Amino acid sequence: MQNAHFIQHLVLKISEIFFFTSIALLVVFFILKAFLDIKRKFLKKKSFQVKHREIQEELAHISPKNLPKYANYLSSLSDHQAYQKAITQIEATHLYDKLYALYDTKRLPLSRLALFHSLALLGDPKIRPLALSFTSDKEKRKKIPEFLTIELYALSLSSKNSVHIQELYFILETLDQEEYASQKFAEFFLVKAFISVEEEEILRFLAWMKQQEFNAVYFAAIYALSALPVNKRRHEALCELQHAHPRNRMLIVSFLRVSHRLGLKEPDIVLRHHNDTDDLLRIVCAKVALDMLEDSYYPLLSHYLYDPNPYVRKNFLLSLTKYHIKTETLMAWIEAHYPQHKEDSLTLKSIAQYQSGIS
Amino acid sequence: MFAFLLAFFEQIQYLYLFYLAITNIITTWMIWVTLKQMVRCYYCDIDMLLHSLYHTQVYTPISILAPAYNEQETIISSVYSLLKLHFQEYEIVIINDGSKDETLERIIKEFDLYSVAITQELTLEHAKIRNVYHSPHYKNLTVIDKENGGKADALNSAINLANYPLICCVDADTILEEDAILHGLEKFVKDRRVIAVGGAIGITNGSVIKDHKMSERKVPNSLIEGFQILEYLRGFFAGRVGWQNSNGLVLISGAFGIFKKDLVLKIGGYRHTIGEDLDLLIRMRRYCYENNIAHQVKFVSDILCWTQCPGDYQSLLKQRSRWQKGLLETLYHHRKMFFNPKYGIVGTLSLPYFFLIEALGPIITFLGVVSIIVLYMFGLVNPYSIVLFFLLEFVWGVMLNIFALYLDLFTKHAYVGYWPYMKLLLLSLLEPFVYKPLLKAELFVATFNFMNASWGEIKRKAL
Repeated sequence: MQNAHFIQHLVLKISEIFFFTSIALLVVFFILKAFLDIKRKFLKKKSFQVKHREIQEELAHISPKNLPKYANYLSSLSDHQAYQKAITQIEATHLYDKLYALYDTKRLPLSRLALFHSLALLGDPKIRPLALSFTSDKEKRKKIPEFLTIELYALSLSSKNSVHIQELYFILETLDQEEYASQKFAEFFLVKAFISVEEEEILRFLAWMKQQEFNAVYFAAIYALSALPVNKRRHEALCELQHAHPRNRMLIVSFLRVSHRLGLKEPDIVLRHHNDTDDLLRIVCAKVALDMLEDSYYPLLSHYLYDPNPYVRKNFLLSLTKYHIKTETLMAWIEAHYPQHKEDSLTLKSIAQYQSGIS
Repeated sequence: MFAFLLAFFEQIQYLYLFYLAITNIITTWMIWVTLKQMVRCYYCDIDMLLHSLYHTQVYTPISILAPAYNEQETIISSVYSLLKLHFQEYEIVIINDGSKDETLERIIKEFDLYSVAITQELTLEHAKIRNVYHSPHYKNLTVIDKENGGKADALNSAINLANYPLICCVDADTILEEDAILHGLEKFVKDRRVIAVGGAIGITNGSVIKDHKMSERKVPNSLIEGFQILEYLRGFFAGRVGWQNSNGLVLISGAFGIFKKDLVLKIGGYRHTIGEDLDLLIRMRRYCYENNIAHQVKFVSDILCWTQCPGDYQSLLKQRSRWQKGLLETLYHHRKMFFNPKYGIVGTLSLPYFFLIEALGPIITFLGVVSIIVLYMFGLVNPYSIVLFFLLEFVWGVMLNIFALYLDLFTKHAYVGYWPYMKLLLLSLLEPFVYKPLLKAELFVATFNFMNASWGEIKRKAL
């Protein structure tokens, strides 16, 4: 009897809990919905105001007292110009340090944290210590992984010298080893960093690279450099690196790309590697070979027409188009050098693509 | 004998209540995990970075494969939505899998397609390709016309012709968000172990589609479509984010999934089965475990694509029946992985969960409900069991629905205004009484009928 009474009491209690939890969930839901709606409307309104001078007037009234309100206001700004204006204002009123102090000492709600991380997107140098502390701290990275990319972005954009790029390099190395970041991930940030610094600093960085060991981030840096606009001095620095490690394919790829962009010829390297097993090296050779070799070597390259890698075929076809070589000539090259591939489906496809490209 | 039967039913009744409690606890935990992640993403300005990624040289090109079977109403809209994607270099391969309607004719006419020779090496087996078409206006559009062989077969033929290292498999009736590929690619770039990425799927029924884009999201007036919105939020959305966090995800919906092509080729492409999406990912993961390859499967916690859900009960029951059959067939095929620590979390947790909760769920539910009815008829039912059943199945069920609606608030395309949510709340009150019993009954039948596998057809509306 006592047992039944207990169960009855328990069931009633559970029902009560369910009922009140549902009501609470509903109330919170609609409050949250209202809050988010207001925020969205505010955002719309503010982005309209950004185009006007009102924003300046509003910013003029900021003081440490209304800092939280200001922080919310900042997080609602949606374009870069507005951020820039806001940051200028922060600097003028010496609030930057206070914002940092707030970030470091208090456990902030996510929305406020997001504000600091959003500021990072501007790449302002003052955000750099914050970005560094976040990206170097494994715990922080794991706690809010979504912000990692933004902070790395901030580090890249705020890089002003080779030491800054080295800092980024080491963090990317850690991410490569501990968090399995891909080479493309490192490339993305290194490209941004290289764009942000002066040429002298890039050369200093390249000199520093000579002492580094080969790894994914090393190659990401080399690849990022060869993807950017080049000049003779950078080419020389890359050339030194390449001569120091003549068998490294990644360095050959970068060296060929940079040389080609500068209009320089490296026929020996192309002849040595045009039929390499490495896809990337063949892709680059297919692109630069016609420009770097004498006419007499052209038929040797016709194997690119049936290469299993579509990028090799594509690059070779594009360079062929530049030289207006006739389809019959192409077929004759293949017949003379690789007759077994005359009817190859990939060869036929390439020829068809070439014809349609010419027409 | 009679006494034995009654004792059996009594035990089944408790087993059922235990099953309900476990299912609800897991769902609640998954919604909570998903909500936390979505709030973080909501405040994280990732769009600006994706935009930046879009403008750099650092990207991996991707082939989008869309098999179409009798999709004449939606195909043109879908192709246009694919052509508008924000991405530097991608190709679209549409596969007409022997449609009986005007799917092929409509694409040919709309995009002025012309026939080209089949020139690729065909490593995966599939039904005969009749023709391959290119468009003079869109260089990255290829259309394959082949004999009917099913979705897996169609995808295999497209994988053969795909040029790029990543493949994105979508349904032909799907409308992708413009930045869907960027979102997916971000996961591959961030972690080199990633072998597949999925994204949440939204329902277009009742909404306004303009210029092949989701313009205004609305809750449909039909009960059946409304119930499915709740189900997508609660089950498909929350469940996958939850599994992803523990790297136990084994299912990426066939409506949108990005995969590493080399790995797909290594495992022989899609297997000819009706649960081909589940099967593909399990086989990819199995291959990685067997060859000691570190791998991850990721899920983007925002709506990346939109699709139509079945608008009538008949189509819905057919679809669910097919899913259940696919699930059972795939689980049976991979039964050696069950509780095998060699297969990591997939073998020890994900697959047993799918088997015990998802596959056996309809049987446990059926037996549980029958036992409660039988015990009640003989006056032997414990009244507290009925109260507990009501609490677990209906009250907690409604609570979960309300909780799941929170997820929607943090999606990019959250409903505007309060009325859609009021509607969904009303539906969530009705769902445990109308939708769930019907679905469970159909799944129970499908469980015993899984050898009779066929795709069936779902009626689509023009977009």
